[in-house]
Amino acid sequence: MSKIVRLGTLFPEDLNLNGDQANLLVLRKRLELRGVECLIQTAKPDQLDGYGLLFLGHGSKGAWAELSASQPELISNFLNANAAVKFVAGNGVEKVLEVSGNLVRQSSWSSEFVSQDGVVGYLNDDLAGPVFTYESTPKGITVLSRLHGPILAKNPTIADKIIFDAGWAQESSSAELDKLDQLAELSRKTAFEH
Amino acid sequence: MRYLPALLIGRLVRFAVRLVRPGGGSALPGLVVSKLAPGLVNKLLSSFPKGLVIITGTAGKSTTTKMAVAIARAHGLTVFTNPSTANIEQGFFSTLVKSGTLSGKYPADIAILEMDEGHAAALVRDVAPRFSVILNVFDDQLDRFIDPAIVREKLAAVAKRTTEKVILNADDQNCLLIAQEVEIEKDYFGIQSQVGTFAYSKTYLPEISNPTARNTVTKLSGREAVLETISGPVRIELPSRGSHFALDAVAAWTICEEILGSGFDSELAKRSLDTMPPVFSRGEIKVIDGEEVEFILIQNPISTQLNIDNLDTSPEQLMFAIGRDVHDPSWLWTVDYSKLDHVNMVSGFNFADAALMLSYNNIPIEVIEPDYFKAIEDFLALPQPKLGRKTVLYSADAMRRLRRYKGFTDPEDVQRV
Repeated sequence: MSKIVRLGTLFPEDLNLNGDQANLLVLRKRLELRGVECLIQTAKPDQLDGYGLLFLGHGSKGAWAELSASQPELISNFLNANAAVKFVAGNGVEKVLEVSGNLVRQSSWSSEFVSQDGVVGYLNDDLAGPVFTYESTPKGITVLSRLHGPILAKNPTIADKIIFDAGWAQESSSAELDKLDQLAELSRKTAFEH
Repeated sequence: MRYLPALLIGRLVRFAVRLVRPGGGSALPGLVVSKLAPGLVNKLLSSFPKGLVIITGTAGKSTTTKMAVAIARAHGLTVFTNPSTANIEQGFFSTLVKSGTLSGKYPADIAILEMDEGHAAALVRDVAPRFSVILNVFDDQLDRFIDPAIVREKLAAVAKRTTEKVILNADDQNCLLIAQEVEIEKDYFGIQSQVGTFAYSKTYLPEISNPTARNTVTKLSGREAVLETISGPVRIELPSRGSHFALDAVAAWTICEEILGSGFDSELAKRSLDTMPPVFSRGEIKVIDGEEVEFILIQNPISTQLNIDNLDTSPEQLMFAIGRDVHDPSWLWTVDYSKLDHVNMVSGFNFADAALMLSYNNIPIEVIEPDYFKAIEDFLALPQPKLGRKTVLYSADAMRRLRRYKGFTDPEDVQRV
């Protein structure tokens, strides 16, 4: 293993209400299965440099209220950080859209499994607009997933797209990756049988 | 007699269901009667001479309720309760269909019911409880309630509708916030921090100082717990191991002191707790084909975490089954499974999500079997473990299917080991 990919996560104790932090476990395992060492580290809000990926998860109303008060620059610092990938899950997306002036709410609450462009996950919010966006620009990759929880486990093609687009590993497969992908396929199928 | 036709139809449905599925179908008769006579349960729950007690909160409802009912019955009270963990309104209708009179009455002194946050908040709009017990708030059912603050609001609604006294957990900041909204008398139970601490939902609000609990768990060794009560220390033997069961016991003790008043006999209460069997699937041990098997129900992040932490070691033989009741399996990933060194069998409707979670947590899985009944048979056919017992960790739907499949249909048929 010649290089180390550092995945930085902000306030993991508070922004993991729906298991969102598990997305980092998924990336780490898929990197390790391709021979790339990976570290998951808690990122300090005033030291966001040096990470390959920065992650913001889903927090309770109380958690976000406290973070908004104690860390008013958190979202803008996150968006301006130089990480190759920024990944936001669950209601972290609401905070990002709020800061960027793109927040639009709808009149009703959606709490359901959804599939958008082949990405499957659980939605639980009242926002309008796409449930999942993947934007790759020369400045880096930004993933906004209103689908909360371990979305990369259910959608390993997205996990691999991040890994390949960021240049962390070459495309390759293995028996273990294949097995994980088969389970993910079954998991996506199950989601709509509830 | 306005409810007679609905109750007769309910009894017929119950009879028919039990013909095709012996021992099963507890929800359908209640569902039918609830549609035909929706006002029946409110009338029933308002009719008991000693009133209605609601036991609610995220975790521990079933065990606390069963303990409180055992103590109350030992003191000679007749109790209406919901024994099959059917903590939904249809469950009450079902109990009424099964055991009530055709005039819609149930011959009991008091109702002691477990109810989840949502159903309790809905019920108290029509029926005010005399006492309520607010056990705790943990991160749970967020696909249904969205946020812990909403769970807290629902529990506060129950507390505020209570007419005589609210009993709350002294160690949970959520309960202390609820207490601030309650104008009637309240009292507290608790557990010393060196005996047990629990990851209640964070409130992110200024810390409220813990009130003095009337009754507290002060020691725990295996299944033996010491409760420091207003009448002195009491040593009890819990039906199952674990600090959460000790907390359930002290909550049950406290509410029973209130219900029984000067008639409360601590010797009688102790004997009730010392001899009561576990609630089914809460550390229940069954003998199957001459071999002991332990069944552990996991319903939410906290019950899963507590039950895993509470295992003596990683079981030599473990089945992990997540059924259809887990609508959004995301919460499975919030639990620390590092105590498990392997899982022999993964199954249930959500087998793929369970297997994905275990795999990404680097916990080896021997067999993933989508066919649940085959998984049960294959797991039970494994040679007896050299150490400990076969252990089944399963969600409510997987529990119901297994119990029906193996013929364990009587929720009262649980032996103390």
